Amino acid sequence: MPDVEVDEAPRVTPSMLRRAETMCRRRLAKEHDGAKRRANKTADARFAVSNRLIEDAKLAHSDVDHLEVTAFVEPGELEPEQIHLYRAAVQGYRAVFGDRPGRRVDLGWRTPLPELGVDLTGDPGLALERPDGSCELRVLKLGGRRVGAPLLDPIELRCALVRTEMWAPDALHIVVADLLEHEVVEHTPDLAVERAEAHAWIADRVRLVQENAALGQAKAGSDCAWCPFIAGCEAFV
Amino acid sequence: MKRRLLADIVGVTPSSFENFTRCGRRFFLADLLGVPVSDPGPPNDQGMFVHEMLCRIHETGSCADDAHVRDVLTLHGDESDHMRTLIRQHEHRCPAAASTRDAHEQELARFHRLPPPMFMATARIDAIWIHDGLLDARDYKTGGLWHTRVADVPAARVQAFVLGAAAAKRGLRLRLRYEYLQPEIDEDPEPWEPDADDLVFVEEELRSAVEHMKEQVDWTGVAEADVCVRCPYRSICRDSAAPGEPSWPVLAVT
Repeated sequence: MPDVEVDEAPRVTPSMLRRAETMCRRRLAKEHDGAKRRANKTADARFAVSNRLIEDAKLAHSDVDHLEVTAFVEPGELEPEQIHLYRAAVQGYRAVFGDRPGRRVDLGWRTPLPELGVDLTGDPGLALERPDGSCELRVLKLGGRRVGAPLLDPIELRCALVRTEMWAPDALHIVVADLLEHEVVEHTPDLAVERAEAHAWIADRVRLVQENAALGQAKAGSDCAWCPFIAGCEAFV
Repeated sequence: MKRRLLADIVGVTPSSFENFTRCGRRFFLADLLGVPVSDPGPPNDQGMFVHEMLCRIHETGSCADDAHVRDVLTLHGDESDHMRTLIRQHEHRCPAAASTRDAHEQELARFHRLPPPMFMATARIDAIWIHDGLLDARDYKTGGLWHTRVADVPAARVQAFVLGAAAAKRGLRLRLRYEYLQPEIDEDPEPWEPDADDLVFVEEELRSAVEHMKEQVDWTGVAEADVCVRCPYRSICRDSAAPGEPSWPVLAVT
């Protein structure tokens, strides 16, 4: 199959928006440019359980009025400890959402922001159309939160509000659940106010990303761990 | 879909190397699979807070200035005697008076290219002072004392590797010291002053460890009760000699 380059705008992720000032500018520039596809390979095994859980949850939410629990199938290909984790996460999902059916909606991986010249990318969560027609976004966590960090992260929230704008223009309910800790936060945003704030904040941060990416100089530090762009980096010649 | 366990360029941190030397399965679960711990130890909020306070105290003044220390602690909402005691424990050992430069909460990285395999070592260093021809790096500790010499601590190998390059670039000797802040610990472990030969040996030790990681297939655990009983994965680990029930709160929900 030919290697076709898709014409995409530079991208921003919640992580880039969060760390625009502190991130290595060379790595920021390359990730902003979407160069990850052409970088040295990084590890991805740590996402195996969360990805599997999300995929199974999507299947479980094929019908609008029924949660199909048989869609959660123990992943035999994973390690025994990952299976423990998967089981606990499914138990957590059923405890929080077992009586809250809905049909899943695909939000895609990116939302173009043409006025800023970028695409906002990343998975905002599991989007569901509830039986009463309302829109619900479920953000699922599996422990690992830093001490004092809020479950409803303000940057993830802003990005989610923008990523869901086309799908849920008038009303949205957001549920963030740590399935291991059995902690849940629910939020029904005032969309007019909070989306306007989210757009303004993202626009400010995108400008900062663009400015720092344009400078592009490498900075050796913690960003070098798991950096996919070590090859050719001037910090290590 | 086959998942990728190790990056082309393997990342090595003090804690990941410590895990690797302690138990291959622990490293596999924590650092490659990112499994959340099933048996967490006591929370380390106070340790994190005292690290932050020592950084702020030094960046804005001196730990020897009682009024300044009080102001910083008050500003951050902890004026307790215990916190003052922890700061005072550091003050007794602080080299700031003799120092020409200092830096706090520094993130350092050093790349190993050849001989293969390549790896990237990174470490966050609590404090660095330059004095008397030394690059004097400190790691503040609020937990248990397990070693009598810093040179024997696996995590210190990674710290020395990244710091060694920084010291050599400035024509300085490296000293790595672990400062135990609790008053009940009378004596710090013996600081480590690795010379150039020691640092060559450390680099080879890390390279060899990364080579070993790349050769692993089964990621077998040590399965020894005295090791497993302190492991944060002991209840779920395939090879645990101290199995049990994970403490994830959701499992208590009926």
